[in-house]
Amino acid sequence: MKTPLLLVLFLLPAHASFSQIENPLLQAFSDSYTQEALGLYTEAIDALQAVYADDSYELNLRLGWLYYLQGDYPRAQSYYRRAKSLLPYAVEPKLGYLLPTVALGNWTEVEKTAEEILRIDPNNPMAHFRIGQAAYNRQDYENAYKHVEKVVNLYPFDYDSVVLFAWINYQSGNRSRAYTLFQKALLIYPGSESAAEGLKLSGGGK
Amino acid sequence: MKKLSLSTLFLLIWLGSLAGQSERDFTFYEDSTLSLYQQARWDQLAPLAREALQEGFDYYYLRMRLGIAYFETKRPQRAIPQFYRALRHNTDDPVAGEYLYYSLLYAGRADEARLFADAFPVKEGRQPHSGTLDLFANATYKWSDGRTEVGNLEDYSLGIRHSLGRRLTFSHTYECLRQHFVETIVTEEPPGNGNGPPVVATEERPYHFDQQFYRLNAQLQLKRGWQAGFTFNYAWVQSEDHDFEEQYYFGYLSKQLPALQLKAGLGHSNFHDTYQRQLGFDLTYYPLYNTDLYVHGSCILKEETGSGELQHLTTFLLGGRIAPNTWLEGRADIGRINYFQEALGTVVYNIPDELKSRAGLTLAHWIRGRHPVFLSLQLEEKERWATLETYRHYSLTIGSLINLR
Repeated sequence: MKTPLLLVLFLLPAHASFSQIENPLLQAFSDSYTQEALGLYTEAIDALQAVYADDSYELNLRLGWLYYLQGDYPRAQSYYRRAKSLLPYAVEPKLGYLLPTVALGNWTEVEKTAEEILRIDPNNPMAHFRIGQAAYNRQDYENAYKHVEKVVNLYPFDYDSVVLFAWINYQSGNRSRAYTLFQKALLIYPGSESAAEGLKLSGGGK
Repeated sequence: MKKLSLSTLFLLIWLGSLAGQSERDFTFYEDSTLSLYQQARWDQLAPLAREALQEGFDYYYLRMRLGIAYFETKRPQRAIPQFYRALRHNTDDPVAGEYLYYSLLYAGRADEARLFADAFPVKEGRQPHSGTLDLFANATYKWSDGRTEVGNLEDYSLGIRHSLGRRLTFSHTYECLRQHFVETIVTEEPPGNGNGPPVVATEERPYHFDQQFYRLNAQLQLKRGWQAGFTFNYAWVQSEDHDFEEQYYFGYLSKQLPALQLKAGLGHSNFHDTYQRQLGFDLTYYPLYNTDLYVHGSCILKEETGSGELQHLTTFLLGGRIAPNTWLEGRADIGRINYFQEALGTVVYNIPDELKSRAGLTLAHWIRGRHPVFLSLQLEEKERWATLETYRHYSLTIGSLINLR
């Protein structure tokens, strides 16, 4: 009488493993990762679209990312927007939403979204960085300084933040500080043209 | 036949391959408009960008590319809404602000342009000033055809225009006018010997009346091409037998669209102790989306309060650029109206004779692109209020504005 029980016990993991492979959602996600790694974004999207459900946070978030990689920024925005609405307190889809919005140049919306993130997560470095970047673009260096300084304090070895902070210092007339920061940026990314140009312009910090 | 440049050839091949795509999606519009922008192929860029907008793709870079395409093809009025939309996507963006400033300036909307004068840094050349300070002067002389007692007319005005903040502009004008008349006095005296017909003697007696005006005009720039304005005139009239004072008020609202300017105004006045209400509509059409050519039509309707009689004046005007800084305008007016205000209350026609028709030509030249001077010739046909006789005035006006900023 022990045989059937052993058989059942033996078969259970096999059945569970079989179910995983047969789960179309799981399979779709698995395929999308494989295709993405190969740079085949259309195929990665197609894999997920085959099982798309409007109320799935994961599908919307992932499609937002894949459309962003594909360069279809408006569609990426719409999937990220859907993911944001499904989980309003999640920071993740808001950060995702920033990517295509920056690519479209819609900085007013970037700032609005980054401020939404800061209301939930006041020290979020990416939100501070984006607000700082937007302020820098409109030549509001004081505001840019305030936000980017926080990021540089948290991540002193992050190239994008350090080089932006260097330019903010340069534009604010603080050339000595800018010179030091451009040097740091070159340590992080020795091939940086922006840092090299900034170093030249800041003229030895004098 | 012109040779195709290598870059043009590549572009055509590349566009051909894109055109072969079954779906015109975001990537297609983005890549195509970017490429056309980089190649400065404005005539091809504009329709494609408009198509992308119709497909629902509306973002900063697309608006900028379309706006720049219109700007480069000298259609600033079409560029303006694109830069406004770009600024909605990217508030205070200095590039969009600078393009918007110059588009408004070239579209003849200098007051609105001032709102963006500080929006961008000027690397070289003259810094646009957000304020304004202008002096202006006009002189008009009207010659009468002598058919009636109405004689010649002289009119001089001097004013200053200044801003108060970015949105509000005031102009103060002092104007003096002298209207000459020649009265014919007929006298009959009995014959000296007591017999025969009476002796008729005619004597021409010149007289005149003087008017002085103080005029205040305020203009408020609202958002997105809307403008509100108000004009107040105070007049002192001195005639031979009595002196009196009058006030005229005119309020208006205007909206600038890419190819159209619409204005509507309401006026109220107390000419000679009779109260007048008037309603005016103006429409200016810019078929080339710039000030190189424009067609203007306007209509004034006026009623003396309580009289029920409606008077009107319809105006047609055609204007265009004839040289880089020179414009020529031709106008014709037809109707039957007296005691009215025109040009948004900045011109007051406060005589009882009805204006029946008017035609004129104006030549305007902008010295160094900043200081306009103009010369205007006009013919007016009027009807004398007492005798219903028709007479004409031929007028010459010269005017100038000096921009002090």
